[in-house]
Amino acid sequence: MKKIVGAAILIFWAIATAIITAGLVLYGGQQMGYFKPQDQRGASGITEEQNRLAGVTLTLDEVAKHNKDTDCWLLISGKVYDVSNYVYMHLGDAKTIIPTCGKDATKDYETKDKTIPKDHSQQAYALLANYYIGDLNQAIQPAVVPPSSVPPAGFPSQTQGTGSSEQAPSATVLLSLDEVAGHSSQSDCWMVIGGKVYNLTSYFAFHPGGTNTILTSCGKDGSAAYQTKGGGGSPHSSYAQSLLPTFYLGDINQTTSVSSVQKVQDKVQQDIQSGKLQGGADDDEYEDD
Amino acid sequence: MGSENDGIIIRMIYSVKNKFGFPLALVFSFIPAVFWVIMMPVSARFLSPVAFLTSLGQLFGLIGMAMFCVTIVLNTRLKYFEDWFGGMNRVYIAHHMLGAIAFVLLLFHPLFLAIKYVLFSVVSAAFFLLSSDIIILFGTGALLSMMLFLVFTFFIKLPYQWWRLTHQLMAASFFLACLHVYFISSDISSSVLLRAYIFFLIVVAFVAVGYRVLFHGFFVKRYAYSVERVVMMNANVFEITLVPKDPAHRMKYIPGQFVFMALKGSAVVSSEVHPFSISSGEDEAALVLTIKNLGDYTARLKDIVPGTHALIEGPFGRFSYRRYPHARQIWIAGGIGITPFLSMAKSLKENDIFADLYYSVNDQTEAVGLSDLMRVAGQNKNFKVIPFYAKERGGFLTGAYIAETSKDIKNKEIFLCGPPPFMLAMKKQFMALGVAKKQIHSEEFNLL
Repeated sequence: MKKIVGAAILIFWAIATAIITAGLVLYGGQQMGYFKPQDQRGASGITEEQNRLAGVTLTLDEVAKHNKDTDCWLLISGKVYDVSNYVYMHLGDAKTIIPTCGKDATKDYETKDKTIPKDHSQQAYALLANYYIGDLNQAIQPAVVPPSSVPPAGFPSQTQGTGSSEQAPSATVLLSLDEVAGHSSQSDCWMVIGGKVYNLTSYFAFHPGGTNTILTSCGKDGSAAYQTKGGGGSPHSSYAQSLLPTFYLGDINQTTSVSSVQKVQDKVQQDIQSGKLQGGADDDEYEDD
Repeated sequence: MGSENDGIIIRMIYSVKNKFGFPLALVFSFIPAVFWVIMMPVSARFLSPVAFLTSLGQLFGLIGMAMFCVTIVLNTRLKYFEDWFGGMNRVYIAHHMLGAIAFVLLLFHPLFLAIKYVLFSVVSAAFFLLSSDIIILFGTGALLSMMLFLVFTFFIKLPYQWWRLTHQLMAASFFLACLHVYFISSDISSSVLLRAYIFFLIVVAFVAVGYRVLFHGFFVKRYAYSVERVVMMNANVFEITLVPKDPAHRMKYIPGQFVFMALKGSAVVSSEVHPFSISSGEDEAALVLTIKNLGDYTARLKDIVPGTHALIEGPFGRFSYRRYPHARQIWIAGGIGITPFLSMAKSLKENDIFADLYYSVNDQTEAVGLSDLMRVAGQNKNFKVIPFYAKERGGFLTGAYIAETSKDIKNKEIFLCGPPPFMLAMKKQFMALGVAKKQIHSEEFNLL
């Protein structure tokens, strides 16, 4: 018993010290500008690529140029996707994607699993939407850089992109209470806090206060609940306050571009790609992929 | 004849029931895991690395907390537990083990959650561990204070009264842990049943702390005795004879049991509580404790003056020839382990049982109480004493020697009391000789 307790204490301090030291060194480095904050890298994901290629017409020839693992475009059902960042995250292994880079992969996509051909899951389709760059034979639209400030280092965000990205990138959305009310589920949760709209979908799994406390305020004005931790509690910590901007979509009743909303999702993909985010409690997006 | 059979039935029930205490304590500790499993499909809990780590963190916290409560309850020294665990010494062994397991589980509880955050940002994991959120701080404080106090239990030997203080201060750690559990909101806090169960355990644990630690002087029944005399038996062993202040309030006990004694108002020793085996016969008016000088407290104890006020709590223990069905028995004592057998021998009635007592010591000067034992053996033809002097024999007492001299050991009840390595060696040897484990009874006494 003595040995077990001793070993446990040792493990505890080894891990705790390692995490705290590494965390503080990284944090200090970010503050001093030695490291590029992760979310800025995240923000410059697909949107940056999209801006660079703005105006390019998505012809079959153009798509065919992007035919390797590090630069991989797929044509699926008439839509073009840049999945370069996703290739090595594919649950069905990268080598099943790479041969289809630069080609029409519609058939391959719909018949995964060679032995028993099977379509990709709903979640996979939702995930795919995040990599959409335009329709075939359409010019790439520049992505609109959102007005929101660059969020500080903290929790990355992740959404289950329920098709909003299928709209043209220049489309706009009015962040009205009605619009917010349409995002009231665990897989799609928007919330108004202090007049600002946040997309908290990705944060569920990480909320120290559990998912249910957030869920009750999804699609609503959660200011009061936020201030009292679901009623009767203390206000959130300053650390919690510092996390919120990560999920900021815009002010209430403000018109924002869909791509700005999309940005939050893009950043998540970037985080997934960089291996920082491996999924959440309610997240099964690439489970069946 | 009828009453004899009844006695046997009661003894059998005891021996079955005392197997359930520890498993039952585990069941109470793991019930939160059952609620946790039925609240959400387990597959969903372990869907992704994040969900997996969250789940482990929650589970360890819940079970650790429930086990912490059970550990505290086992410390109440309630006689009721003796039937379930087979003696108060075993209750304390369970307290010791469950406490250690609970502590390890609680240590890993924040670790899993921190590792979960590492999965996407080391910075956020560090901030989680260093969280200034008051509710998380309750948990951090509970864990760090527990760790500090347990270092004294497991690794640094403190003088008894200081150790006892650090151990009692764990009630404060427990209080912090309760605040953490009560105020933290999580997936779990949404289950009314689980909350109710944890709340129930916490209330019971608080009652236990109140009963045993805070108000024990008020609740716990103790017998008032006074020291009559102290007699040195040899260089290291002495005998304290205690008489009840009021002869009508004499503590009744079964031979083989032990008590907790605290001396009050002595200039020689502090009023701390220590356990001692009873060595007097059950019909004697005086209570005799035979004590070996093994530490700081017992070294000074021999100097207490007659008339010192003693508070006796007990009796405790299930180590007695009375409790087992076989009338043919072998008693084996190693050194000071003779004390319960002294009491048992002095209490033997004629035609009670057949017993061979093997008394293993280095030489005759160590054989405390041998003359008393010889006197009993002279009067009772069913009781034999076989002293075994290791120095003379040039080796230790063995199971083979006993099997050869006592005969038919497979059909005898075997009682062992002595230093733990001695008991372990004996137990192994008897089992190798084909004696069933349930026939071997030992008094493991290690309060720490």
